[in-house]
Amino acid sequence: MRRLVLILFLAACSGDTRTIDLAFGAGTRSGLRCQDESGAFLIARAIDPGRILRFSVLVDFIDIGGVPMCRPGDIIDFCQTRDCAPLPDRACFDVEPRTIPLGANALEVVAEMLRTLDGQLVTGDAPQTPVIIRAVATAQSCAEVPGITALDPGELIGCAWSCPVQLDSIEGDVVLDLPALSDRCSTSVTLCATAGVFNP
Amino acid sequence: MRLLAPALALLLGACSGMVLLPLAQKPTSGEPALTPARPTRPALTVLLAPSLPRPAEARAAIERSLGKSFDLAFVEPPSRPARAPDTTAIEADLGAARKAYVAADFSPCLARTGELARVTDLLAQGERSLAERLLFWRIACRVGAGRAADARRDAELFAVLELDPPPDVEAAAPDVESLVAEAARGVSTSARHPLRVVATAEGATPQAVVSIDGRPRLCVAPCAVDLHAGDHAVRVEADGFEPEARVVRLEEPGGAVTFSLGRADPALAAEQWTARHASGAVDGAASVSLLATALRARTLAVVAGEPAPGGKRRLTGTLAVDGAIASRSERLAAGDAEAAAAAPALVRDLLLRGRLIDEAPPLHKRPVFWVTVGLAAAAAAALTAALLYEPPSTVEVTL
Repeated sequence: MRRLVLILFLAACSGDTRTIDLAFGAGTRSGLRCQDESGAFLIARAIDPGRILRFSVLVDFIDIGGVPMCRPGDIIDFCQTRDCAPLPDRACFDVEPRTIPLGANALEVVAEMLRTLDGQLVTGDAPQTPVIIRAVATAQSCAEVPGITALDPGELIGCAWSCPVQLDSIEGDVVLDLPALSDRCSTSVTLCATAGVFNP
Repeated sequence: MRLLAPALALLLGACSGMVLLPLAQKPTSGEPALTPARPTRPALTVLLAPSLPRPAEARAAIERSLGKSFDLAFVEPPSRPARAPDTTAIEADLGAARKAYVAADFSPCLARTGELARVTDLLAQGERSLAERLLFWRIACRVGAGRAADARRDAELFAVLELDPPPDVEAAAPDVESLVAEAARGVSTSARHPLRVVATAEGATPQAVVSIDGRPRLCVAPCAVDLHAGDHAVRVEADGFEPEARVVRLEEPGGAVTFSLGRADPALAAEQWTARHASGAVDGAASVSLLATALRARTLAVVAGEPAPGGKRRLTGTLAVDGAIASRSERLAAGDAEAAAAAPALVRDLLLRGRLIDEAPPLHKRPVFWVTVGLAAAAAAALTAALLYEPPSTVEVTL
């Protein structure tokens, strides 16, 4: 009887912590392969003259107040009557700079640099409301972007977002990507990073 | 889960109640729960009368039922016949005095008849016949010795005590018989006067039996007896008390005498009980009171049995506390076996009515019941809360 009470007590008092990993979509879907109108890769914005690639990744949550379909049009319609504003909690990671060797594929180097972020904690207590998770890659450092409004559209190198999710009721990974029809998707990156895609 | 949790909680609450409630209600083998009125085990002496069938079974049943609550002692009724006064010496003296009288040797005749106090002592002991003979031959010896005045005084006493001449009166000279007859005639013409006898014992008035001049049980004190003026031997006896005897001088127009009786010791009480109740109803009030003293039992329960119509058995019980009857009870049993089995219930009845035990209050009137219910409810509530409680679930997001 005493043992049963103890088990019940521990069961009642012990909390439950689940981990959800964020995964970036491959290729253009992470926006890192996007090119501007002149055909230049946005990632070139993060390479200095010494061929050093330096960028940061900013992850935040956009509270959309419901769970609409994942199609961009549906989300835009859904947010017509809602605030769909970013939550104050955000995480910013300065990715360790790397020199791009001569003849190397810069996109592969970016992919390697992103892998160094594996396991980094975005938040220990995710929002319990329906959110869209957004990751923005910028040539600016974390120190330069204390707020989402401080992002310089000219420094953006990629952006990806998730479908609307209720984080405390899902299992498994959440994939972030950037829906785009072609590699000329710098406008999509800008809209994604400045939240115009959700609340124009 | 939300529906299952309250059900489980209620089940646990009920189970805990079932576990705890028996602690609140001690098992009583189907009989009403009883709690001793005193914190320590009180002593209870039980006497099973010979009229009770299957006494061994009854004793075992009583021990099973009450042995845990009471310090039981089973006793047998006392058997202590009262010893008759030793009159051998007086008989010898009387024989010697009579022989001396016949031999006209009056000096030893006077010596052997002794002091007058011997006569009153014999009367006080109820030995009236012996007292008659002793006083008569004392008169004869005095007449023979020429002590006429002393003889006349004894003859007057003989008449006042209304003694009858002994069977061997013809062995004495005719003048002795004449003297006794003359004294009797003189006394018989005098008026009688009331002697009021009162007996007290420890502030109460016991049922004391009065014997006067060796005539037993004349009345029960307080009472008055008409007697001729003169000395009389008055004896007062009451069950449970020491008897007391005294020579009282009654004068005109009468008098009163008060006896203050002391409590009898167990040996005397045993003698009194053996003499008066051993062959009768053991469970009578007087018998039980006397038994309590004789057996040194502060609390005595006497259980007896008697045949009842239809082949049944009637069990009767009497409880005495400090010598006073505290309660009575009876039960009817179908037969001898049932009578033995019913003995514990009868004793319980006695103890309840005698307030030596309290009937346990109903379950809902016991504080421990509500404490138990409260604990069970608290346990059920706690379990419900535990089962319905959902700990805060945190989600961490990593890259």
